[in-house]
Formats: sequence, C-alpha cells, structure tokens
Amino acid sequence: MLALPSAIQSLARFVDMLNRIARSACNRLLELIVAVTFMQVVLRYIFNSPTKWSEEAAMLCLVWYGMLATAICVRDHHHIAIVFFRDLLGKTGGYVLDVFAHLIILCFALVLLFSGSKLVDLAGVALLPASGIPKYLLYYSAFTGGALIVLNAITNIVTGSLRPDEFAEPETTS
Amino acid sequence: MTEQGVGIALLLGGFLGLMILRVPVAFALGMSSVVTAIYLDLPILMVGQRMVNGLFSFTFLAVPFFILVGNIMTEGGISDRLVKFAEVLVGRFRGGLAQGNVVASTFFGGISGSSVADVASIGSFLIPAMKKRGYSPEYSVAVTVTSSVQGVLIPPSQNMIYYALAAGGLPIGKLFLAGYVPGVLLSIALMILCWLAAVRQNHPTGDTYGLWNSLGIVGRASVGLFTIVIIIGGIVGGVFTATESAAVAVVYALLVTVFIYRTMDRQKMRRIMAGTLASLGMVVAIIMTSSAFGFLLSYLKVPTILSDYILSQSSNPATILLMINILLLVLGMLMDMGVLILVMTPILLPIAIKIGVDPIHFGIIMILNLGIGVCTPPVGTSLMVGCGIGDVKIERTLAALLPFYMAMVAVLVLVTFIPALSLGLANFFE
Repeated sequence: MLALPSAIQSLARFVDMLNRIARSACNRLLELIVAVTFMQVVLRYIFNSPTKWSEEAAMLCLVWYGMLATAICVRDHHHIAIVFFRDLLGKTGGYVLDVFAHLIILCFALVLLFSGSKLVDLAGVALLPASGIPKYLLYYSAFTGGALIVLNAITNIVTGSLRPDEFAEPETTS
Repeated sequence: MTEQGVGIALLLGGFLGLMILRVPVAFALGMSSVVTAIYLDLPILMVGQRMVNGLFSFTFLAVPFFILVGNIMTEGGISDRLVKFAEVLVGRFRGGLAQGNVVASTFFGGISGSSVADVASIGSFLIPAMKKRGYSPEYSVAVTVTSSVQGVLIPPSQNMIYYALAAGGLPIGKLFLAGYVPGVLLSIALMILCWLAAVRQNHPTGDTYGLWNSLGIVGRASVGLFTIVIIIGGIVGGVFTATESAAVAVVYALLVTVFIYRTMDRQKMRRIMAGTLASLGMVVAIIMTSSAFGFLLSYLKVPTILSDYILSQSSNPATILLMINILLLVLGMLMDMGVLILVMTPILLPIAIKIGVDPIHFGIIMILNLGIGVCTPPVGTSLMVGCGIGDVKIERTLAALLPFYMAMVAVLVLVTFIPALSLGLANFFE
C-alpha cells in the first residue's frame, strides 16, 4: 500500500486521539451510570431516602454514551451492514459501495450535527423536570456525536479504511 | 400517487435500498427518515429530537447493564463452571456432552441475554470437547448453535427490552417471566433430539464426578447463577425495577468475579469495557434511528394500512398468525434480530392485537421466531460464530441442523397456538 500524504496521516492521528478521548469518556460514563443507579437502590432500601435526580442523570449519561459510541463504532466499522451484495461486485464495485456508504453516514451526521445545534438553541434555559439539569446538555450530545461521526467518516474515506480489518484486536483504551 | 404513498415509498424503499447498498442499518434507518421528513415538510429537527428521546429511557438503561453482566461473567469464567455444572446434572446420560451443552446454554441464558455470546463462550469449551469425544464437528456446532436460542428466550433478554420499547412500553417483568416456559420447552425438545441422536449414533456418556467434587462444582456455579435470583427475584418480587435489578446484578457480578472466583484483572476489565462499547454502540445507534423511523411509520399510518390489508385477506386469527410467522421466519433469515424487533413490532403488533393476541404473548412468538433466524444462513450470526469455532463450513452443518430446525419450528407452533405457555407463568405472578 502506498504511504499516505503526511497531511492525511496527521488528520488520522488527530482523529484517533479524539476517539481515544471519546472512548475513555464512554467508559467513565458507563461506570457512572452503574454507580448512580446502584446508589439509588441503596439509598431507597437501606436509607429509605430515594433521590429524584438520579434516574434522569443516568439517562442523560446514557444518551451521551450512545452518541459517542455510535461515532466510535463508525471509525471501527462496528455498525452492522449487509455486505452480501458488495461482495458480489468485485474489487472496484465493492470499493465504490464502501465509499458510498461512508458518504451517506457523513450526510446523516451533518443532519444530526445541525439538528443538535438547533435543538440546543431551542432548549434555551429549559430544565429537565426531575433533576433540574439544563435540557440543552441533552442535545449537545447530538451535536458532539454528529461532529465526531463527520470526522470519522471523512477520515475513513481519505485514509481508505473502509471495512473492518479482520485481524485487528479490539482497542482497549481504559 | 398521493403524498402519503410517496412518503411510504421513500421511507421503506429508501431504507431497503440503502441497506442493500451496504449502508449500515442504523444509518439506512436514519437517512431514509431524513429524506422522508424533508419530503413531508416536517421539521428536520424532529429526527435529532426523536433520536435523543428514543434513548432517553429508563427502561433501556437495563440493556447496557445486562450486556455488562454477561461480559463480566464470561470474562470471569462463568462458562466453564456452567459447563461442568451441566455435566454433573446430565453427564451420566447417553450423549451426555450434547445434553450438557443444552443445559449449560439454558443456564447461561439466565445470565446473558445474547445468543451469540452463548455460542462464543459455551461453544469454545464444548465444541472442541465434543469433537474430542467423537461427535462429528457438524453435529457439535448444530447443538451449540440451536441451544443458544435459550439466550434470547430465558430472561434477562435484551431483545425483550427492545420489544417492550418498540411496543410502546410493556411491563418488562411480565415479558421476562413469559419467556421461561417456552425456553425450557425448547431445551426439552433439543434434549430429546440429542438423546435420539445419541442412541442412533452411539454417542458416549459424559464425565461423571464423585459426590464431593460434584458438590463443589454445583456450589461454584451457584454463586454465579445467583445473578438470576437477583434479576428475576428482584423484578417479580416487586423489589426492583428491571433497570435497578440489572445494576445490582452488575455490582454482584463484579464482586463474585473479583472476590470469589478471583478471575478478574485490569486487562480483563479493559476487554469487558471495549466489548461492551462495541456491541452497545451498534445497538444504541439502531435504537436511536429506529425511533425516528418508527415515528414516521406511524405518521404515514403504515401499520393501519397493512393491518387493514391483512385483515381484508383473512379474518381467521390462526391463518394470520401463521402468515406473520412465515414472514418473520423469512425476514429473520435475512436480517439481524434486534433490528427486526425494532422495525417490525410497530407494524405487526397492531395486527396481532386486532385479532385478539396478547402483546406479551406476541412478543414471545416474535422473539422465538427471530431466534430461529439467528441459527440459519445466510446471516445467522450465531451459526457463523459456531462454525468459526468448530472450523466447519456453514453448508456442511445444514444436514445436522435440519432436525434441530424442525424441533424449533415445532416449539414455535406450540408457543404460537397455546397462549398459556407464555402467559401462564406471567399471569400467575401478577
């Protein structure tokens, strides 16, 4: 394989760094979700003083987790797709479809990014009912996730990383 | 063509078209929704909003927890303990290892809700062990793959949560309970087949352990299996919600693997988090985009149109249920189970309700039916994983799988036409 131009290599390095940050943010969020939900059970049954905010806080973390994980899975090619027809098409045709799929991902991510930023504006100063957490934090996830998907889709296209590497070990950043 | 007709064509045609063109399912759902929303002059913001709200759900929180419990227990070595436990229970019978495979999968289903995880973990112990004892590789793979369907039927089951969400909120506890009898029935059917095969092909008995050894094995497995008591006992006893019980189970699974099994270390913990991210990222993406897609489906009144059409063809509930089952079997062979539950439930459930089928019962029919699809080519994920472990070609397993398919379809027919199999236990605890 030809060496990629250095500008593309730096882009890939930068984007992979963002993904590592997103990955460890996801892991922390998941730990937090477990901790908050478990704490709620303990507070309710042992101390008999349930909290109001914990459910909403956990759900907010989950939405962030979901948006970031969706983006990371684009870079890692973890999203399920039907590749049956692509594999019938041979090398060039298959390549065209791989690029096409990434362009669709890119378009959709732009919509997500755009609607995320609009929704942040629309949420204004509204608060989530039970916890009083600002509602725009919820929609920032769509904006952030959308932005990372855009970067990941572009990086996949320009670096030619368009399908899963069958021999790669899953990345295990803590 | 009316605006509604074009909208439906854009939504469904766009989804199928993009999917065939290799666009990942989540993005095919999302992009067809975006295009349809633009055509219908709906604000495009709606798509982002539906996506966020689709995931902003306390019920769905149980899914990451159940995936975590399954991953922690698997990395922590529950599988070989369950395999030995199953051998203690049924190893002395003819074809003991095959019987043990079914039993181990049934218990594993109580800890993990994924049939692929079942094949990957139980299978990596039992397929090589069965081959060593002289079972054919094809038969070993067939038993492992078909018994993994317990994973989706025996609670906890992520797929049941997807169904409950797609159905617009059903009681998870009731749905979980409804899975037990069909799951056990499937186990019994598979075990009868294993026994028949053992007699015909002269399969050996499995290992037997002495009394003290057996007690130790049972004890070690029971510590892990107590997870089931936490989850199901918690929900049925009204102590926890499904989500809370799942969070307690995560903490319990960690405690067991760190302090009792002493099998957990940092490296494994990292693998658990990475594995959870990969499977969860894929699932949440589909949950989010299918929420926008589902909104447009009902906005365009697709469920009503389809149910009017089907009911105009036949008003006999048995015929309609049969048609739905055949449709789902075909779709299940072609597509992923979770996607089908999320996309097809809003379409098919209204029909089922109109002909008097209980939504809980319908969920079990759907999950068992699509579970069969996980074991069939061309896109049966469990089958592919099983064939990978057993190192056999998918085509060569089909002859060995045929009797198992027939048994599964027979159980599906029973579950479809005897509602009490699903609802009996669920209503008993109401």
